[in-house]
Amino acid sequence: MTDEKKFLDRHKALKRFLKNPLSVVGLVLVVTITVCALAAPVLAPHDPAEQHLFDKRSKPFGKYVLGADQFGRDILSRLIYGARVSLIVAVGSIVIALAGGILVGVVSGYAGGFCDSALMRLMDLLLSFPYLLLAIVLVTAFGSGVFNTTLAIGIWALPTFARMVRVSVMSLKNREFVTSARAAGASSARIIFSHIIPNFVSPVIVYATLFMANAIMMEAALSFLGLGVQPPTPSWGEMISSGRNFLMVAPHVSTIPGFAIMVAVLGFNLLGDGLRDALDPKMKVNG
Amino acid sequence: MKNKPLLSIRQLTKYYPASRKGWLHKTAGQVKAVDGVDLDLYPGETFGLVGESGCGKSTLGRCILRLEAPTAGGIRFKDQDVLALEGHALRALRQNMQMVFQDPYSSQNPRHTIRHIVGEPLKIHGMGSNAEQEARIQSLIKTVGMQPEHLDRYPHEFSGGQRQRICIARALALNPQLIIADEPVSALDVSIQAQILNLLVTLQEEFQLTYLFISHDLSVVRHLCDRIGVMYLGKLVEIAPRRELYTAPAHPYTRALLGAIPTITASRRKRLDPLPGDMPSPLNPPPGCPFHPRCAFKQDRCTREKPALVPTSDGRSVACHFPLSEFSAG
Repeated sequence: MTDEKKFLDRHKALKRFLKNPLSVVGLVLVVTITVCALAAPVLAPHDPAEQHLFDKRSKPFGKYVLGADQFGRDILSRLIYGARVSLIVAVGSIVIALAGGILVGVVSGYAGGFCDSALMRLMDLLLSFPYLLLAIVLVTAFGSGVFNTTLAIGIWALPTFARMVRVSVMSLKNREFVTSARAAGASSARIIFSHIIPNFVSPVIVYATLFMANAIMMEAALSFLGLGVQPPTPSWGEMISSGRNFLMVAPHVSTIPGFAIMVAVLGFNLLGDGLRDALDPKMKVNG
Repeated sequence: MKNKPLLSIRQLTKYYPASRKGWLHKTAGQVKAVDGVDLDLYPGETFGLVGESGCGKSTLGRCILRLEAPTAGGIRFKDQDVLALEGHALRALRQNMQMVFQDPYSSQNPRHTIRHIVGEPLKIHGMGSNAEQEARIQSLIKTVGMQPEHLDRYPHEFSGGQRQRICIARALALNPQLIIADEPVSALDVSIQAQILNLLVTLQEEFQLTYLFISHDLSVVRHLCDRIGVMYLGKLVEIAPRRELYTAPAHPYTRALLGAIPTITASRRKRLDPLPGDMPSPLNPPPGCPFHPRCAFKQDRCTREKPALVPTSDGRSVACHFPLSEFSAG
């Protein structure tokens, strides 16, 4: 019955989402970051790579709104361009993790048996690495850069999605409406695409949104360690990293991108929580 | 009997391995869900299959539709060997046999509209153009007593009875000859049950359907069925025409089942002792007659020898060494 209820509530989901102020804050933050990323050339007051050597480490609210870094580059512009990297990596890695996770999860959950065991042991193998170590190993293997960072984070996130999907598929495939479809002569492909996937997709989407925050942090961590995006491409993690030598003299060089990461993570978390509450009526009881 | 059977089942057997699954465990035993069932269904009849929960009646229905793979035995639908079919031929067979499920709440995809649910079999089998399919859907929904404007709604907007009507419309979509109804009314209110049963009767006349009607409710079966088979522990213990079965049950188990139907006036039927004990585990059925541990009429022979389902007079079959009519007139 919960499924029917879930569906009934879906029509009202948008309304419920908009009623919750925290979800709206999350949505606004995420939209702002997205706009910054998309319109970076228009919004940024300076070229992010342009060095103004006379303005090295200049304080915020002077010539530059958020000051300049150790090479005299405008921090605001770098922040705006950095949003691009963060979003590309976050979205890209989630797409990889979702696509791979759904593929592995559906095959594993639907086929069962040996296929299931083999795939799940492979996922266990990936999960058994400490996450940062896994990402470091992958980046070391593939080399650094935006694409490889995305790939590494995507592979890191894949097993979690695969397991989530597998469990849903295993419970859905024994539901009577799937039996009914089989009795009507439906092929496995039809059952999977028409009956199974639409019924697990909404919790997975919610989780994916929450996971975006992790992906942003992961990208920042990798870039901070110098394994992610390489200079001069601006990235929030790399900006924190480059400012850490001047933390006593010019704290704004590190703290401002740190703050941006915090805002982005907060935004995605609030959005994800809001989506979950709006889509899942069971969570709504005390909300 | 009259003409050729539409469906004939021979020695159908379905065992489930009872094991802790895994590479290291051997199978501990087998659950004999269906254990050597013979059954013929004739065109146009309604055959009722009754028995307690867990006696294998649903498994039998699912085996016929190939939703479960039987362990052994044979099923023939008209001239086709059902168990030998694969792929395309199996799909073609499924046009002729459809199922109505027990729980109308879980047998419909909550994300599909009624139009999608009723029309899905047509889409799967590529029957006609979109316009023809739409016309067929419209006529089906009217056939089961609902309105075309219901088509754009979702299952959760309907009551159990309406949902069961939708299930029936879906089952009818492909113009099947045989409908296996697995407890189609047991999830419904009694007042709605009668409506659905009457609908099934009307549809049978209109479309010359053959029903295999699975139920645990003898009063429902009595309302609908021409012949009735009683299952116990994976085996058919008695097959008889309705009237004979209800007036003079030959198998002690049938008699006990009939005695368990509640009546308003207690004096109307002689009170029978309730059946002692539970159904034995199908994992480890008792030797000899599977019913002997609970049978009031058991003899020595029953504990040793398995009774076969043998035809007696007037077209009924009983699997009992000492059928009731022989030694107990009352």
